Amino acid sequence: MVYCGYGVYDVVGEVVADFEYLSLVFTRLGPDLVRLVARVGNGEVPLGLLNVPAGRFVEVLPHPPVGGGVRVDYLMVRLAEEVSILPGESAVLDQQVPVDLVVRVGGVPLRVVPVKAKYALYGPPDLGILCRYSSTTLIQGLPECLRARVRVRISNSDREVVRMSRVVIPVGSLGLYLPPTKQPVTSSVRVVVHGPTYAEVTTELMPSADVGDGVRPVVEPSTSTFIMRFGL
Amino acid sequence: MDVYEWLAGNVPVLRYVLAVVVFAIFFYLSKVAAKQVSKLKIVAAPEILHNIERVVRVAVVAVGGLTALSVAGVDLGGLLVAAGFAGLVVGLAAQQTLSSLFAGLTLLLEGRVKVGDSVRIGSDWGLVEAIGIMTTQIRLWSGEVVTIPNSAVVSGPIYNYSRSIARRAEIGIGISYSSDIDRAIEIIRAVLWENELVLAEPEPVVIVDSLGESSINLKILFWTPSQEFWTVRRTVIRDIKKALESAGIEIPYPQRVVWLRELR
Repeated sequence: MVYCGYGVYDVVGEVVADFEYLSLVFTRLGPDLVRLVARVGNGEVPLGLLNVPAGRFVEVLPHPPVGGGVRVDYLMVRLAEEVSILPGESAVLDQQVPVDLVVRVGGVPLRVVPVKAKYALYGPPDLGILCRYSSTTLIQGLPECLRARVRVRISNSDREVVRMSRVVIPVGSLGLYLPPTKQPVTSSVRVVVHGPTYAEVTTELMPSADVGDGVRPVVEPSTSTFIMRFGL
Repeated sequence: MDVYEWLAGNVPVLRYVLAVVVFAIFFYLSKVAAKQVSKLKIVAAPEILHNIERVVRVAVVAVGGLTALSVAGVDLGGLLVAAGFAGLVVGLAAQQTLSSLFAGLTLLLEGRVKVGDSVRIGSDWGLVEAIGIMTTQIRLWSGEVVTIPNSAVVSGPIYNYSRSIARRAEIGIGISYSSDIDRAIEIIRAVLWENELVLAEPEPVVIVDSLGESSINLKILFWTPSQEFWTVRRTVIRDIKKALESAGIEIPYPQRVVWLRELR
């Protein structure tokens, strides 16, 4: 049986949002306070106290991967395989990235819980940026509801064939949808390659896949561009 | 002959009063000028702006002083010649001070360090608290504040740990000759992968560095966010020790094999 704990909870006593890979355990301590603990395997990670007045509901939803030990604004997606693109042509790649979880009360995010965080450096240490990292190895073992689908359209505007093995996405602009299948879907990403080491990565407003009619985004998408200038 | 010259000639005290007034005006102007500098929208570190303020203030006060002396009837030509000689003497006597002064200007203009940076200058390791024209103050990790002349700061290498968002850690570990090297490397790689703050890229490297007297020496190189460097490094060392131990891979003590030959 696969568990997917996205939903709304009335925290009375102890309530568990189970995601198979990890569980979020909410324990009411008083009329205003709830203790949050993440259970991963046999271990428990205390995540502090949350102000959840009695009678108000806790919402657990997916969130773009930004949390963890270091706060970052970018996500580096290491493609499963290097892709070579002809001049003037484009290719669409469907990737998966880990999501974080967000605990909200009345629509206000109280806590972002990273599910599986790993980081990478893009560029030299003095000029580059720190990114959250995603690769096929990293998402192994994660249930589908903790992996978001990302569609990346790569266009080659250079005169030569270009090879691309990673994409750095401005994750703050990445929208996130939660369709009835419970597998999150991000907004799509467009990459325009201008040279062997230079590309523009833009987050778009439309979802990466069909999310069904009337599904509102959990996180609103917006458009922003990041210039990959330290290699593809 | 105008009124001022007549009064100055006949009431000498007036010259001195006027000189004091002129100096007071310049003193006030120096404050205003310094305030205006602080409001300038210059893209510069706060310590540079602060030092520019001080220089502007001193310059305006100096001009005010000279003007006041001139108003008081002092012959500035002679004074400037005397100041020239005095400058020469002071320059020779205060080489060290002037060297620090110019070093300070270099330091401020080059921007090699700024307030709040984590640095190592010589044997002093800590956070930069202030950069003045003559000296730089560093709060050592042990809490003391050390003041270093700028000439000493610029004359040696400055290690600035805040300029890089990530740093590479290097750890050496020896395993016994009877251990399986590939298995040990695999375990170490797994430990590095499990630690979320060991960067996935640049990829960690684990190599056989040398065959030592008592152990096969492995070198582990990995990158981590600068602000987490020490925490991650010590966690990784602890986790590797535990992981190797539980896999039965021995980290040997230094040892000698002694051959005893039977004497007849």
